[in-house]
Amino acid sequence: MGAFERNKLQGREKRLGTLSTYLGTAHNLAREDDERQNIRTFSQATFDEVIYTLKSLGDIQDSVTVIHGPSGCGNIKLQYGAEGSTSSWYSTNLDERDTILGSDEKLRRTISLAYQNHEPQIIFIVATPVVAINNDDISAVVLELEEELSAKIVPIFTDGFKSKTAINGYDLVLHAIGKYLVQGGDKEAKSDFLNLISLSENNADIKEVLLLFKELGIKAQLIPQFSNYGAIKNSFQAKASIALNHDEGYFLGSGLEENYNVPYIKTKVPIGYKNTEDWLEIVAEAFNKQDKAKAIIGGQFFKKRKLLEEAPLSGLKIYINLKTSRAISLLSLIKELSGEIVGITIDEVDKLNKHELENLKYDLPVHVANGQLFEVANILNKIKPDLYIGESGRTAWVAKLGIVPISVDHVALYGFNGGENLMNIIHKAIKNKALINDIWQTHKLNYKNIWLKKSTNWYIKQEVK
Amino acid sequence: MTKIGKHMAIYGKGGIGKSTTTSNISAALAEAGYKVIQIGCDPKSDSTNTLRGNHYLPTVLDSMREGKKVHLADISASGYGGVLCIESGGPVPGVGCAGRGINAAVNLLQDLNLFEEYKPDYVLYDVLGDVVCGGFAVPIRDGITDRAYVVSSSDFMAIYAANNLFKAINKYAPSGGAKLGGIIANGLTAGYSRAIVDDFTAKTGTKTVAYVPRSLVVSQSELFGKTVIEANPKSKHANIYRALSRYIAESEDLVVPNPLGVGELRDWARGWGDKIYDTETGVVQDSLGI
Repeated sequence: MGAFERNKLQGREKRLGTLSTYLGTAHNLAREDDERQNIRTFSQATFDEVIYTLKSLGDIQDSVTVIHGPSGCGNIKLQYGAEGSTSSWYSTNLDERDTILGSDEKLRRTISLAYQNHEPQIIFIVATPVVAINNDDISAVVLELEEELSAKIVPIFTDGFKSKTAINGYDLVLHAIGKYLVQGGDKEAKSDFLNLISLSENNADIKEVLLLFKELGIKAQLIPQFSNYGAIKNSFQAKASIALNHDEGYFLGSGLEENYNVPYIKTKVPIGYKNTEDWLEIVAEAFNKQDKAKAIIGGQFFKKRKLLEEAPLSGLKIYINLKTSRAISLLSLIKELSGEIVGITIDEVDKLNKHELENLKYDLPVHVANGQLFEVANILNKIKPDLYIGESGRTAWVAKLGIVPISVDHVALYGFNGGENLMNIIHKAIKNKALINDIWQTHKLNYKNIWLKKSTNWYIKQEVK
Repeated sequence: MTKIGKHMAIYGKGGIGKSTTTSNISAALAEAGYKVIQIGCDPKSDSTNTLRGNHYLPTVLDSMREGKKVHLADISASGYGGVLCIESGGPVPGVGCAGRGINAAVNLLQDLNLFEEYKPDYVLYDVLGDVVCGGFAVPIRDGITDRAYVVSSSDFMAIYAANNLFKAINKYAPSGGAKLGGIIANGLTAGYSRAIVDDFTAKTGTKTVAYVPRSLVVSQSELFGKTVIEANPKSKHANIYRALSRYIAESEDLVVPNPLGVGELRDWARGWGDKIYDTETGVVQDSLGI
């Protein structure tokens, strides 16, 4: 069955054997049994697919998001709004009465209201656990209103509890986009542009990549982040697709390949010199621009050699807590800059990236956890790295352990300037070591010593089957 | 979406004989050489009893409750004529949500690739009565089945339940839900029973696809834990079920019914109440046409 054809998508665990809980080493990952999931008997905080879904819909132009559930389910939009997300959102604000009598009338009203106020091209409906538990219908409303309103209405069936991994939300969004928005006429008519699939990359990273495409002379069209209905609709005409992060964007890339014969080019995240060079070569090949790629790589030679010779990270023990593919590619950059990696925490591991960890030339402690900072604190307290690289929301507290934290979610790590950009913020952070020491002396960590002394995998158990 | 086999749901008020009817249809289809799966979607989990000689079969939800990984072999049994029997089951009475149970069971069967692996010709979902909530409507939604039949007697409550199902079909059919194949009139006793069912189908733009009179043979076969097809293969009723199964196998005559409103249904019933009273008490109307 085609990727976009199913009405509902299976959870990512079932499709890709996604692992959300693990403590061990990169090479031992191979021994993990797909059938027997690890479980966490205590969880500090867990992101769910609804949160990731809303994150990825926040910057699609001319779109409105209707969150179909109690108003609390849309809370995260307050944060995304504060962070600069541009699209408007509505909540159907379901209450007890709606859970008994059915919620379709409220959904109908909310969609109509959103349409009247914004006249958007796309209205996304994000389902929530309440709707899923009640088996409330969405499809009939969508069908009815599509005839009435001149907007595409796209239901996204986020149950919120069937899949335990938040990244499943991206798959659900891409499935809905592929099913409802990409509309192919002639499958064979291709134009000379590339789909650049992006879901969560920051502006700085995207800018770096777009500049590379400009230098290569390839027209790249960004979808779905920062794009619009026209770009999504016409994505089937592209000559090829590439995902900035394969873990996040693969579903749309492989779906377009399967349904519309748009070749999907699998690449690593272009962080680090080697990874960026490989990436450029693979992309250039698809468009027959190998000469240009060679010239660009050649142009970076002296800058690259200078930085590699300086070996600016030598002597530093570094811990990484980032999204999986970003973290794996960053390993390569840290190595290039002569840093020593003492461990990584990543959000999840699945069929898309497991082999990259298993095939690392060196073994490495790997911790798979999303939102489990108490376990990260336990690890950091034991291995005491010099530097911790994370994203905002999971970083600043590390200072209380006397470790220098840096947050890279607004830094351009992609492309050839990634090394310099990374070194800039590291220098800045290290220069301020006095501040870190001060925080260490005066602030108490939220976790008690009794926990920090326990083994990190205290709450990680293997499911009994 | 390509689907393996014809998937149909059979609804009806509790106790109206839908499990008996469904099992006999399954048995007749199997007898005719088809590969059949029957899925009982009723917390009572007794849909397939007569196909399997009343043996114990763990339900999908029983297996799920134990928290272990569910394998198809644990929750299915091969019954009469090779019919694959599955019971969705339900939560312990008094707790949880049976509607969600049906949803979860149906999802799980899809996750287990049941249809891809077994490659059935026919899949029959035997679903509890009134469409009491979204969960019980799962088999007729989102393209899980493409046709539904409803088992009904001429009793008002059975017709009321049928009318409720019509409402659900009417709601879901436009967005890819199942359409109605027709009514299977079951357990007809009085002379006017057939006329009542026929009048209801005429009013709702549907039709009756079979008339199954009340019979001792059916009750007796059931007491032996067998279908009529198996226990009394030469009986008149066995032939009625065979004809019905042939019809269901071949017919593509599906409609979206026009359910009656609550008031309309009540008035319609009252009208029949008056007619029956007149018949029983011998009121002569219109000079009997003399």
